[in-house]
Amino acid sequence: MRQFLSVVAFTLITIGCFTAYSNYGIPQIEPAPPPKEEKLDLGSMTMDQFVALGERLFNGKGTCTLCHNSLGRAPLLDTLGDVTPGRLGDARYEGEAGNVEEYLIESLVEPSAFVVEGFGKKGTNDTESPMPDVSGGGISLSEAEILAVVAYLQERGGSEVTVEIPTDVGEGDEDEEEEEELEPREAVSDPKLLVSMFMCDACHMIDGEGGDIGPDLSGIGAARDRAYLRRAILDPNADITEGFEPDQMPEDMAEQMYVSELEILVDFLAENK
Amino acid sequence: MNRSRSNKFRQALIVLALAVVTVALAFLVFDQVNAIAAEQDVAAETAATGNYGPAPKLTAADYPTIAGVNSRVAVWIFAQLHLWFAAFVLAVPIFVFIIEAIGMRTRDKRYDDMAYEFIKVSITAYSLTAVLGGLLLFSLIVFYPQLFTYMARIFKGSMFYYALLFFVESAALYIYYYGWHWLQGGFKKWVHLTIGLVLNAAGTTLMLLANAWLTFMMSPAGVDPAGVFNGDAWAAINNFLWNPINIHRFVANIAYGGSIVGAYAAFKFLTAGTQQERAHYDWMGYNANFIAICALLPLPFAGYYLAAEIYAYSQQMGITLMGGIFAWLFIIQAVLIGTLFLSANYYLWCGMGRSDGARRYTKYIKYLAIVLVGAFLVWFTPHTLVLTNEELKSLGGPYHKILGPLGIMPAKNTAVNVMIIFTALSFMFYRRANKTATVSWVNAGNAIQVALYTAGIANIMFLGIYHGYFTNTVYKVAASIPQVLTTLVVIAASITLDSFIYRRSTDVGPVHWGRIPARAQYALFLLAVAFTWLMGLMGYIRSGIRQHWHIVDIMRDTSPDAFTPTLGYAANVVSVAAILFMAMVIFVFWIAQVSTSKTLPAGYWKEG
Amino acid sequence: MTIKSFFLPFILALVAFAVGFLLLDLAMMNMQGLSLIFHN
Repeated sequence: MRQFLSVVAFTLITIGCFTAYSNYGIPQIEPAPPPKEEKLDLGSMTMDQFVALGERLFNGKGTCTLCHNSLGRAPLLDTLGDVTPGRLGDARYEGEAGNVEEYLIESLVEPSAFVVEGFGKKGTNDTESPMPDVSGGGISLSEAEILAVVAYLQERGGSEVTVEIPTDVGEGDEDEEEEEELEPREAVSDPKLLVSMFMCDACHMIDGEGGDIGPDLSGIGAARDRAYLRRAILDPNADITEGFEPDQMPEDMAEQMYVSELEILVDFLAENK
Repeated sequence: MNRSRSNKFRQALIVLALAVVTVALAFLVFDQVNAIAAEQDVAAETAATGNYGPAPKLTAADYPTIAGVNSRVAVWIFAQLHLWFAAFVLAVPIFVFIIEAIGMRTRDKRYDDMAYEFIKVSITAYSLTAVLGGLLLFSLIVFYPQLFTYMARIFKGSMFYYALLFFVESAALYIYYYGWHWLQGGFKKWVHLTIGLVLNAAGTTLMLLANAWLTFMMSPAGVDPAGVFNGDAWAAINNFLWNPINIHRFVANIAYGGSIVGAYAAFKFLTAGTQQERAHYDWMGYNANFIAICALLPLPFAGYYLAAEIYAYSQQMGITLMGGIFAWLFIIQAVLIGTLFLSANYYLWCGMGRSDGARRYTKYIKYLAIVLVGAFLVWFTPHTLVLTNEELKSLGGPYHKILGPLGIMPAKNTAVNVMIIFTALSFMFYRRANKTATVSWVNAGNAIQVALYTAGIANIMFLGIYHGYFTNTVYKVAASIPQVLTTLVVIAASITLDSFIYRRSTDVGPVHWGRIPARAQYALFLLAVAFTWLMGLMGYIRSGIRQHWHIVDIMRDTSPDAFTPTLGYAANVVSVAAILFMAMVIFVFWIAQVSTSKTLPAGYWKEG
Repeated sequence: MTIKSFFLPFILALVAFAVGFLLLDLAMMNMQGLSLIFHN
């Protein structure tokens, strides 16, 4: 019996140690709550608000800017109004759209209907698009959200906004989600993508491309070490390079990027010699 | 004879009672499922999408609350308890089968007796597994009826085979166990071994089917983005993460089964009355520990494969797994795996006392211990010490100023490889302890062994330090491959070389089984407890990376419990479940003991 | 344990294993499209 009790005590103490370590030995991070499902109040929306919603979806939940950006992974969408008629008449076009609005909706849910030359999946000779169907999978835009994106694209692409704000959202579309603010985005591991995502190249020259509001970062790794670069991102005004104005760079980079992204960016810059 | 018959009768009664309870539960369950299935049928028809409807979009009202019970915790605990017992009762027949075969080949009856004793331990656990499985099913249906019904409609075919296989497994197990002494010798023994094979085949297939259900929830297949099933049951079963989980669980189950049987032997050793019993249970504990460690060594690789496949399936899921809040979970995991390694090594060192020749090696053990503890400390040095962005800013970076360099992955890889190599070295000392080499080149042989370990460790350090600190991320990751290969080469080469050095070796003396301090048995308990707890913790992360989805991207969890709990909360649930499990295991061990004890009450039975 | 019977084989084996492991590193890094020595 004594043996039995000491084994029981030993077991309880061991489990107690593991529990205590997990509770007090490591920090208790409260995970982000599940994204909230909010109903869109489409009835009271003006067209400007609807386009603005499309823009938010385009930059956020839709994850469109991961590829449709200046890095050339996917076509830029600024001239859609001009190029669409030509595409609809193209021999390679496989879809059924008759106008810009239909074409854009089709491109979002059936991206392979027309693949812009040079942007197809490798090896498919531009017959298959690498883009996912935005109504499914992890993106899951609803019908109303897709229309909002289309409205935004029409405005941005210089064509007339023909989309109408859907009103019959009572039945099938009850659970429209507006969650781009709450949904944690995926961490990015491509430094070049990070540069464009956080728009570093709007002000900084990197590898010979970019603006001149901030110091040229081409070859910055030869002049600055990691610790300096990290601080320069986290706290931009700590050191101002001669000839540049303070208070130009946003101070909230640490809030915007994940820790892993910060390190990837620092590595990228430090190795840029 | 009468006595043992009445014991078997009692066991049969228990099993019968359990069966009745299970069947009653099953009826209750299917009644409810049919009702909900009918509802979903109507939904499917209105959607006019064929036979299968889309995954229902749930509201908080779809989750019954019953008597204030926390639904998630209830399902969690039942699932975890079922899994622990299932892992145990699946693993034990696997190595019982192997041990029986070894006994048949060596004609050493000790193996046969040990195999029988192992299977005896698992037989009560088997009934408990079934009961807990029933409770899990019941709680799923009561608390998550919509999810269960949706799953059941997709997997109803495989659920039928599951039930069928369960009967096959039960039948095979009972014949295997109760027929052990009857099916002895010659052809009969072969028949017995074949039944063991059938038992294992049925058991393993059961596990594969159950794995398909849970991996479907992580990486759904055979359904469209709305969750409409295309009718291809095999596609749903053979989903992306099915095989990675299958491999990982199969290996882990064996290690786990070994550790639980080791704890059983340790307990019997501590309470043994005679020297002979102590010797028997010491030997049994040694073998169980050996099985556990052999299965433990490949486990990190199976885990790495699983993680890589999760990454390949969904980058977002992979990032949730390795980054964010779960990053800290791997620190806890490191502590537990370190505990496993240290206790396994400690047990080996204590076990060297069984041999008179071990004295030659004891002087090295303190160095092994120092290296292992050092490597362990490096291994669980946290990577990122930052909690909030504010702290990140004030620290100027995510790494600790002094410990930071030890917290990065190359340092951890180096530490874990060193730990594995030193465990192999411990084991080599253990194997050598009772032997004296007779070959003429023994000095040169030992010199080569020392050179092998020196060069191997130097290479691991070189790869870790040079590529870890002076190159970029791509190189850091790439260098881990030659590191692991170096470890494998050192282990394989040293075992091969030792087998040549100790060819025609002489024994120092007989091995004194049972000559081991009692504290060594606590190393076996520690192994079993740490294993149990670790499995619970990893179950939390496997399930947790689904986040707020019942079925990823298909069926959303809208219950109040959809949030991901903190690590401390998860650890508390796991601990409660682990204590419940340990209590049940003690009950199982006790039943196994009771079935062999006899009492003859005087004056109770009619004389004559 | 003399120079001849222990240290000589030790040195020879150490050199041999060291070269062997370096070749292993070289092969593994090359198979991943990298070199053993880091070039920026």
